[in-house]
Amino acid sequence: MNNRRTLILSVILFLTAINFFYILWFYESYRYLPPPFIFDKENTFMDFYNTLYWSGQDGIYSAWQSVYPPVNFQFLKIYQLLFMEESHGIGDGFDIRQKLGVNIYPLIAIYIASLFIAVRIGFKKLLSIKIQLIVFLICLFSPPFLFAVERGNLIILAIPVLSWYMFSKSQVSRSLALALLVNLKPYFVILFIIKFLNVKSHKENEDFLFLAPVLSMIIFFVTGLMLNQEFYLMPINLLGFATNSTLLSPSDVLSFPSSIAAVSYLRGLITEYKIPPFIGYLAKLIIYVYIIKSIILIYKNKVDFNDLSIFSIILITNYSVSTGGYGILYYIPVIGLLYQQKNYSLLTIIISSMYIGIWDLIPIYHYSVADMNVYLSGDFVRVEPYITLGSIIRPLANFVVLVLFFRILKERYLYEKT
Amino acid sequence: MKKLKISLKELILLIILSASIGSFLFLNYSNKIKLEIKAMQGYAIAENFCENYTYQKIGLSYDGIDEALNLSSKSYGVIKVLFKKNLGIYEISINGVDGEEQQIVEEANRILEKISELELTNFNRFYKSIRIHCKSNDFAVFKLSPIEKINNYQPIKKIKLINLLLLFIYPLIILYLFIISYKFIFKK
Repeated sequence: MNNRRTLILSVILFLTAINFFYILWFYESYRYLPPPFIFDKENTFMDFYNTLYWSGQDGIYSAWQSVYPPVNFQFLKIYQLLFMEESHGIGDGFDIRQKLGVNIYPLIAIYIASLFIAVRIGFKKLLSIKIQLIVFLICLFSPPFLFAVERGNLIILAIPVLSWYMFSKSQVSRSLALALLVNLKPYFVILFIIKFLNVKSHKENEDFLFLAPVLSMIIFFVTGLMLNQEFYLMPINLLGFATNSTLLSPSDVLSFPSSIAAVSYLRGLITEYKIPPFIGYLAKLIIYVYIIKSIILIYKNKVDFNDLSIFSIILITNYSVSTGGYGILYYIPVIGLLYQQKNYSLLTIIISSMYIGIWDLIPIYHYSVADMNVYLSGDFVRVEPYITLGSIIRPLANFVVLVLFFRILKERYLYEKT
Repeated sequence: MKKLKISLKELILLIILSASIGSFLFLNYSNKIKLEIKAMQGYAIAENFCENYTYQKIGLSYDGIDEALNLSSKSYGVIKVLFKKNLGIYEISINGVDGEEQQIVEEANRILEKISELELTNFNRFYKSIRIHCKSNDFAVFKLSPIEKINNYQPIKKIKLINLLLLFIYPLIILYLFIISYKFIFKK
């Protein structure tokens, strides 16, 4: 059994490595990163540098209308204190990147360390250290991790905290983990909401249900006060971001989607065919039907904590495109839970569709060519973007995971009861 | 509901502590002022004439502006000068306290004058002497379009009253949450 598992993981690592070396080869040949990396090649690491710029400005929540909770900016201030010289008089995010670009390496090291910690927490009681290392390497070379690194998005900091939340046994510890998560990315409040909706387990979870919101608010107010900005505007900005789909460009959304809701952006990208708008609404309707059915089931039955956590991540990555394709990284601790449950079919779907990058070697649709500066290589090149097969497989597979997990919940809690 | 309750002693302690912290924060921030000035960079402009030159507009922004301005520390707060390349705009912001308004306005104008001088140096060095012979006469190709303030009337900003009042409320909320969570965790 162990030998078979090692063999399977080694094959997965081999396939993931093929994609990784393809990316290196493509970059060497064409001087830019291939799809599914973002079309705008001048924008590398700008999620980090833009946020870093604003961390030293007034008007984070009024002028920039940020949706990042204050903890993110506090992290950036500490990062700057430890690893960079003063950047706040240099210019905007692009200027800071130009003058202090070399200071990105500690951030990449933090990303790699976060990934390693997430894998260790999730798998230390399940797998030997050798196998954990293989899992770590698979995640390290996987498209969602590389994509998140290229963006410089702080989402990666949430992965080890998510592992801590899912594998913690103490309710106080879980509450603190969730409080941190919600203050890193507000949509993690879904983890709390799903637990709250599971009314039949309230008695066992009453410590968590009380402490998690209290600790979340403490972190929010303390870090907000330290930031000395109008952080009370953050929830209002969040509402605007969630409801305003024009903030995201079609090429950005479709390069690395995790949800089939992304199909509504096809109309903005594909010009050769007229795509009816109802396709987007239909996709969202189907997603919501399964989400609502699952929530009703959770409401009416006493559901295990692990199942609630798994469903919460499936919901976060499926319900909208606003979480971004790198939300697939949240499946890292979920893989640990599924392995614990011996749910090999879901494991296979998740790993083969979302973490093996070979699907991105196959282009499906080419769109507008453009000449542009590439930050990484410093060259001015002709970029020929395309949607990859991976960008179609990932959201479809994620939807299949939603459907299958709903069926698992039904079998486990509805049919077993009867 | 029991978990949200605090005793009278705890309430008094809460009020005293949050009032103290709130007062300290209020006094710290209530007298802070800020002036922001924006100015469009100067340009060397060549207009189409003699059918030899098409219209050109070249920014005169000075590289290494921080060093050139020699922004030494002043007795009043922080001075920031940014040049936003993509917009061609200088942003000068100076923080200070009540009573320093005139000095801050003078300093901001001094900085703007200095930037204007630096741009003029750029223009004189690289563009002024470019001439073209046309129709039996010599003409200078480039004209100077000097730096121009965008927001001519920009009042000195103070921290909003609502934000100042919230400085009393935040410590109250934080301390209350601390008390109820502490009691919950350690007295169970």
